[in-house]
Amino acid sequence: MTSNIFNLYKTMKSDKIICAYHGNFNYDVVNGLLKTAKINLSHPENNRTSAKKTYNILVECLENIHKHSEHGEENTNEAIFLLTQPIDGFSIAIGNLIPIEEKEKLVKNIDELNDMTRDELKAHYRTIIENGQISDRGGAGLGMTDIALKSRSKLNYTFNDYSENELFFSLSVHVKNK
Amino acid sequence: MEIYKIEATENTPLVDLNHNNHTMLFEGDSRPENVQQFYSPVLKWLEDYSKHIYFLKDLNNSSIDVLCNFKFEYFNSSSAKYIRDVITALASVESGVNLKINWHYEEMDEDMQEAGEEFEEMMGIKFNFIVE
Repeated sequence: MTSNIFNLYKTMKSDKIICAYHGNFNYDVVNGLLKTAKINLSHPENNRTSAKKTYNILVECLENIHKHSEHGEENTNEAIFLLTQPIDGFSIAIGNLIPIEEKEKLVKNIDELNDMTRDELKAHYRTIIENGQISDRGGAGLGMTDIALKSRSKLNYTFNDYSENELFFSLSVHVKNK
Repeated sequence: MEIYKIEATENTPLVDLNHNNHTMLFEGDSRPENVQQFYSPVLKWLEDYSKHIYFLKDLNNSSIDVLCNFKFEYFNSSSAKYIRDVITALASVESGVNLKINWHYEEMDEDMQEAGEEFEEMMGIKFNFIVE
């Protein structure tokens, strides 16, 4: 156990992980994580524009996990989150289990966002907001569209096999220093 | 009608709506656990204010200056829809009054600047941008 934690420490250090969490996501956990992330991001040596942008994106990423996990069965809100600080900015990675049948919709949604120009993304965001189909869980892909708009980079994702009914879905977003 | 004021919390902004001074202020973070529940009384107040000002306009021949300050530090995408509704409600009181909307943002916060520009374009109302 003690050697495990040392290995984890070394990994976190070498991979420049400044904030990490694995466990259940609920509103209080998200609040706590955001508070911790904010402290780490507001380090005076950080580029303030990209630190603020990273925080903005992080809120959407973490709220997305929390909101979507509520759709599932009990105890399915387990997820993992990493905030890293590569040399050129910040990176956010989140991972959670999803039912296999949701994969197709997610792929379609993210691929469409990745193919959009900035103006198309803005128009898409506006359409979702103006159609008003927004519950407390957000609108149809509003959070993801917001992430794409703010990050100004492509959304990277992968799926790993996990069980008969579930896949492990991971999403990473990179924010470059200006 | 009454003044509507609620203090800021970690996740919700300070809201100060004053029909006597004709001033409105939103300041802080907006990511309430229940967005609808948070913004419903605000939208209700603005609806009442719209009626209030309609009668006031008849009494006053001079035009009324209405000032709304948005000083958001951050708002999540679910709040964005309600902020749009707030601006729509403000726009509905616009005729016969001088409506001024100030959108404050920190210089380094390009997302907050863009969000204001986006609302401005979406609603067709001119904002004053104030760099903090």
